[in-house]
Amino acid sequence: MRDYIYALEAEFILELRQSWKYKTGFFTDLIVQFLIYSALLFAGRYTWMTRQYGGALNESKSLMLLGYVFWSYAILAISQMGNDIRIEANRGTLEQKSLSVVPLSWLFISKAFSGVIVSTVFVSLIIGMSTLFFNVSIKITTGAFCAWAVMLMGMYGFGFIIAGITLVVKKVGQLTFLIQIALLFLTGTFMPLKSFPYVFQLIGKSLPLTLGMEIAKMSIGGTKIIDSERWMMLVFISIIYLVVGLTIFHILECAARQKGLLGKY
Amino acid sequence: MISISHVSKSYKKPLVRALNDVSFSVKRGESVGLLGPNGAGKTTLIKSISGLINFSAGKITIDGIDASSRRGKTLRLLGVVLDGSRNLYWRLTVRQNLVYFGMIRGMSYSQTKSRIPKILDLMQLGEFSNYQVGLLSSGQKQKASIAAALVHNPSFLILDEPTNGLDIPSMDNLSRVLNTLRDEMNIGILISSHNLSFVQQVSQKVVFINKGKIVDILGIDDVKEFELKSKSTEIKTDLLTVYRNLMKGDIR
Ligand SMILES: Nc1ncnc2c1ncn2[C@@H]1O[C@H](COP(=O)(O)OP(=O)(O)O)[C@@H](O)[C@H]1O
Ligand SMILES: [Mg+2]
Repeated sequence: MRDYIYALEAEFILELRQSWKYKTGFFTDLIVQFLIYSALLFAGRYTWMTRQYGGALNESKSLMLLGYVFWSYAILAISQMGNDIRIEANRGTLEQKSLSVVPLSWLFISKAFSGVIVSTVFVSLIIGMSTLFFNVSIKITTGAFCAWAVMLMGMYGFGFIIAGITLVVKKVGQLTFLIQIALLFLTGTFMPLKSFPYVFQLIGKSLPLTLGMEIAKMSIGGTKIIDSERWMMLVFISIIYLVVGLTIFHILECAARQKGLLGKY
Repeated sequence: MISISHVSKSYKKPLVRALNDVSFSVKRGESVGLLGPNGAGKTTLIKSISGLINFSAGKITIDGIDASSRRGKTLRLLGVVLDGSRNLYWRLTVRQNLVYFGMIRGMSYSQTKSRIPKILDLMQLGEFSNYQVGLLSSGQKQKASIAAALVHNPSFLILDEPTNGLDIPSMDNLSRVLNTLRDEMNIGILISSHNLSFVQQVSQKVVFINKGKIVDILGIDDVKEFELKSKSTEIKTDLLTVYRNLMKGDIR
């Protein structure tokens, strides 16, 4: 048990040191992301959201900000571990990491925790800038926060599948990018899900991101009582994603050890 | 003791029998050289011991603990420096690397901190502790990798081709350091190499391996005697063939 805590600490220190090293990258990223966000904010017509969740037009922009925030965390969850594995395999440090006394997946979970904290600084800055420049902000409710935490757990499950594939294939190329874009549309972040074919709607609706965002939007939009079925659905699906993701990761990790691919790039 | 018994490993793609019924052992305080040409299976064996590769048959135990089923336990007893110079984060300093690798191998931050000065001293890296690893010379990088493998106080140190890319003075320095480690810290050392003279400097026992099979295991005195015999062309044994190839720097 103690080993797990030390490893978590180690990854946390490493993440902070690296974030600090790449701080200029952090700021350029911040500017780029804020520009993308601004474009989305003005290009889209968000009245459908107001209709769906209630509230005035300015509030619909606030819901849009919320969607953006959820989406940012979700793509982080999906792509971060795969990217890290690719980078570490390329550097040659992945095998040394695998020589840890805790499972490799735990090191990546630890890194994910640290990554979420660094991203929260990032997202807070975006929200701050949005408030400052456009007077569009979000009030964080307990419901929205819980929905965020649960959906993030589920999306990390998704991330573990991609991480596992990366362990074996290494160059997954544009796969994660495609998934990120697909998520943008499939989750009702910027367009109502109803305008898509049924199959896509179904996929979209069974994503933790979609379910979590729904609840968060309702919570922030002022819906007093959110039915417990919705919550159960979110928790249930997120747990399934995480368990399936971890299982697939371990199977693929084992395959990589079988083929002697851990350190190969 | 690292005990390797009847270990075999086949890769499927391409189909290669990389290890074929390999057995030998490494005791604490003993240094063993694993000598063989390129493609002999040295890296495969080292990665099998450290759990990076799942081998196909046989058994490897470390101080009696099974290396394939209880990897977390056995890795605590091993320090491993892999082939190539990328064992560390080049953008971090030597000290930062030692902290990280100590902590993912069961040490607390304060335990790591208190061990670092001793390790740096042993590896003669004291003055470079705050250098970024990327700025060090190859010899220093190799020593820093060894330092990182030693932070968690393992009983055994395994090195895969540690002399690659090193000049003669760095090699001599490395062999002195390794001998000190063995004698002062009672560490068992397994070193793979295709460099005969280096293996002679650092080993008490030499395991000759070729095409996945152990050709012979000799004490260091026998190796020296053998070296004389190898000059004569009349004798022809498997070991001599491997040996002569190594002498010529021939590969495969
Ligand atoms: N991941 C792998 N997949 C398939 N074959 C491999 C792999 N790694 C090594 N081999 C093959 O196994 C044999 C032994 O390789 P290796 O253990 O790297 O030898 P050495 O370290 O002594 O040079 C070689 O024929 C090599 O081509
Ligand atoms: Mg090798």
